[in-house]
Amino acid sequence: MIPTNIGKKIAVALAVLAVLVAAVYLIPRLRTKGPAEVQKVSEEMRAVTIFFGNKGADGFVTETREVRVADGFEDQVKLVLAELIKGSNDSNKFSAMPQGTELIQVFWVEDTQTLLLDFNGAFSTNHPGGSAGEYYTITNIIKTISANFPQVARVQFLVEGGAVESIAGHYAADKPIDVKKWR
Amino acid sequence: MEHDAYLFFDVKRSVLRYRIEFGGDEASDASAGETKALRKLVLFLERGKLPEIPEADFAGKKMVELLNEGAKRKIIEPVRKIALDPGHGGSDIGRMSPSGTREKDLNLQIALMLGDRLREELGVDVVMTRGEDVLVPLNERVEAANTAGAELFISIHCNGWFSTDAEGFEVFFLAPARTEEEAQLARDENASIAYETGSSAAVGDDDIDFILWDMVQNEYLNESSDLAEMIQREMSKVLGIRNRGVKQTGLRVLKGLAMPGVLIETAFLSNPKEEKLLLSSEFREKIVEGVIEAVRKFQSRYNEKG
Repeated sequence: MIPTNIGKKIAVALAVLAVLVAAVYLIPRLRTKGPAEVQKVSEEMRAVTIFFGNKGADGFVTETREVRVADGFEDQVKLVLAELIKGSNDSNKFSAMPQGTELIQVFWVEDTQTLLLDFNGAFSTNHPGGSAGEYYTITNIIKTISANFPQVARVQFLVEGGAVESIAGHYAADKPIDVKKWR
Repeated sequence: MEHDAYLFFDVKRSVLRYRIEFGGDEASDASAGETKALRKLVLFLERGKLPEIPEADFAGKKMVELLNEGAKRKIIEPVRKIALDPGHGGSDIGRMSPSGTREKDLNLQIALMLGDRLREELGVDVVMTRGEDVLVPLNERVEAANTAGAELFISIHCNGWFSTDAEGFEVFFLAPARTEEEAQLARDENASIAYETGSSAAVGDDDIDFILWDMVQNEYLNESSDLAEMIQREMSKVLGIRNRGVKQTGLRVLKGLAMPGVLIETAFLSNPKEEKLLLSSEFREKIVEGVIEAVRKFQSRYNEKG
């Protein structure tokens, strides 16, 4: 019989060897497959331009943001408008998005190049009013869409799935807005 | 000849120009014995004086030529009736200041005061799109002014922004969404797609209505622009707040107006200094004074032409 302490030493040596062998084979694979792939996905970013109204409500200011490249067109629009809804840290930049605004769904009608943006009720009911406020709410969206998605010719606003006469009582929202003609 | 149905229009004013449009399946070609669908008949009338045409020339000229002659001699009616439109109302509060001042109340106060003074000082009739705290849809405000046969439309509002920094007054008139050529293109496109597909309409009838109604105000853009500039100039003399100028946008309440129309944003309720001003009757009187002086100037410019 092998004395116990020698047997233990052999067992430990075999275990260390097994770990080493595993390390030699597995670590390079982990390096190339695991973390490297995650890194690659997060690198697929796109620079986008977001439009804001200035603090005096008499001009536009832009900000460049990085957003993830999405799988589909609608998802990409959602990611870009999420940046507008998020607002800016700059005290001279106002998104003019009412409190609690959420973009629920985006639909793209390729035949007519019309983008339908379906917002939650807060988009209209929480709007603080004023034609300047409403003008920038609409125009920040239109300009942001136009700058980043030139294929969009028209934008139709929806609130909770349906068309509304107006967001805050000054501008018509019941028909699609012609992106190029909006002023 | 017997008819199943007929429409009778009693036009009380002289008509300068008119255009008739048929919708449906070539309804204008329907002759005796044929059945064709007429789904829409639109009659556009433009107020004005008819050109004087010597009797002898009449027989040889096409109606189109006569109408074109009339268009060249377009005359704006003297201002005798003004439509005033206090913005918002009822459940639509408009802007509310942090201290609780409601835009709809101020708009109504200013418009009522303006209406009284217009009657007293200029001797004009005044039509209010709302005279109390009720919600009137934007299209009904336009319809009310058109139906009343007003010669001017003035909408009164207070402005609002997401910070307290924005200040001043501004005057708007309509930016045309479509030109005549674009509207015609839309109609042609509609007809050709309908022909190709056999469907009744590719662009919906509602869209065509929308395009046509957009264009009604196009006829008055020069006069609307003049009125906006006059109001801006006169208000600037008396108000003592920042003049943000005359602006042209697609405000819904100015679309479809068959008369010159403007919208005045008197001051910012989101700005505490301007809210205080709006709450003072002295400042509101200054607004009224500025508008009355502008209407007086507009009247003298266009009434002389008439």
